[in-house]
Amino acid sequence: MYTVRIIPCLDVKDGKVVKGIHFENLRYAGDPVELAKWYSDEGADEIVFLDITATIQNRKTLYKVVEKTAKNVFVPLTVGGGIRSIEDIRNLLNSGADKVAINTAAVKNPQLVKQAAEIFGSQCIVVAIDAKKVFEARTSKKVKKSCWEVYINAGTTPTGLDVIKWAKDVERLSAGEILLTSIDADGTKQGYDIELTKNVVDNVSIPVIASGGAGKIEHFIEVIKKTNVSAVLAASVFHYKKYSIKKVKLALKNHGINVRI
Amino acid sequence: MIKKVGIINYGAGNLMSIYKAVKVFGLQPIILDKQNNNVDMLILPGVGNFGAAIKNMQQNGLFEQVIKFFEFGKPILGICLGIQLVLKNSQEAKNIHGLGLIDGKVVKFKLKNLVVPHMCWNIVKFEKEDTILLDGLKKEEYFYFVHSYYPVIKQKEIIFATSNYGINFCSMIVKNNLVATQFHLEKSGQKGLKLLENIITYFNKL
Repeated sequence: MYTVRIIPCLDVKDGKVVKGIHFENLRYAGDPVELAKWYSDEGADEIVFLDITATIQNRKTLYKVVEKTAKNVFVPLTVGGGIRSIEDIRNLLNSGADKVAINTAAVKNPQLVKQAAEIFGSQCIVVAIDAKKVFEARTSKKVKKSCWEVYINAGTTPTGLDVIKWAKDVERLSAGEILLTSIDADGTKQGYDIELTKNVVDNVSIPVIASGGAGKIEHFIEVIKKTNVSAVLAASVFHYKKYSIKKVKLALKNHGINVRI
Repeated sequence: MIKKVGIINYGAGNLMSIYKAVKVFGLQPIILDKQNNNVDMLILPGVGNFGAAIKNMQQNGLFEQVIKFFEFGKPILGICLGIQLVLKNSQEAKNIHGLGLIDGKVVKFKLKNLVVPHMCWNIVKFEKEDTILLDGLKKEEYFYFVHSYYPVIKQKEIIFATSNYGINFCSMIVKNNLVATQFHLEKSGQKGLKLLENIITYFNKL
């Protein structure tokens, strides 16, 4: 049977892996080339590489780092950050990415997602959604309904878009996968946002990757069991070697979750 | 001995993963945009659309080259979309004929409780034994899959491996000088590289 994917994420700034809290207070966590090779050899099911300070000026540097990183990686590599055009996607794929994650540009120009899926195939196009809880609306006297807003520009700009609605839209635009990050949970190590993740998973039929908040093995188990998510992503717990990927996978297996070991 | 490996470019998608993997074994990968008979082996890589890939190959002469290559008994490896292109037709592109090297068709997953594409590591169950292709591999191994369509093969004896995603399907075929996998061996870590190495050894002994 199919397995849940465990994905280490490299947030890369100026060619170095960094990690922050709520997308801020970044600190150094390693070299992307070395970390990626280590994860690939250690049993990561996939690796996500996000250029978090992507600007037009440093695109060429990015392609070089991606190329160096991809060289030693023989598991799927997803690269995101600053993608604005079909040409950017083509350059990243030529540098060794297997998939690309589009965030801000997907919101500003949804047709880019559709066009990219037509050219490169849906399997190649991941839409990254950064979500922040905004309010709990009362649908009736007793029932409260949570609501999340889509943020862009590395979590700095609210868009007014509802996360669930946007997730359905990107599926309709032929995205192959959704990388869902909770800004509220990011870097807190307090666990994934279960409610948010479940809401998105239940509303789309493409794979969803849960991201933001992993701090303990129990958090992985909780989000997989409670939401039926296709993959879980984490950064700090792996970079600072709190847990190895293998250790997380063995624990999941012991809890009856299918993983590749 | 295989030295030059032609990787067919359908004009869309990532060829770098297979390019890197071929290089690991000291072979010389060459990206083919047009007919080039000066290669020892052909790879039909993954990623892309059935109809677009066939049309592209028809335009640049690679469609004929693959068929000739097959008839001459030269080694061909198909990966992901590659295992589908060698069949007769696909639900992904009606009215377009595949390479037709193997009798079979491509159908779409219709699953109630599982997401499509089938995008994950899944078990590949090898149906054959005692072959050089399985050197260093167990009877069942995990490989990486990304696909929405799967091959249905008429000639059951060429089915080399099967997998299950809601239903059982053929995930690898071996027919003399043609080997094809539905999974991405070039993205399946060390086991994937081992299988690629075995395939090259198998081809060298043909």
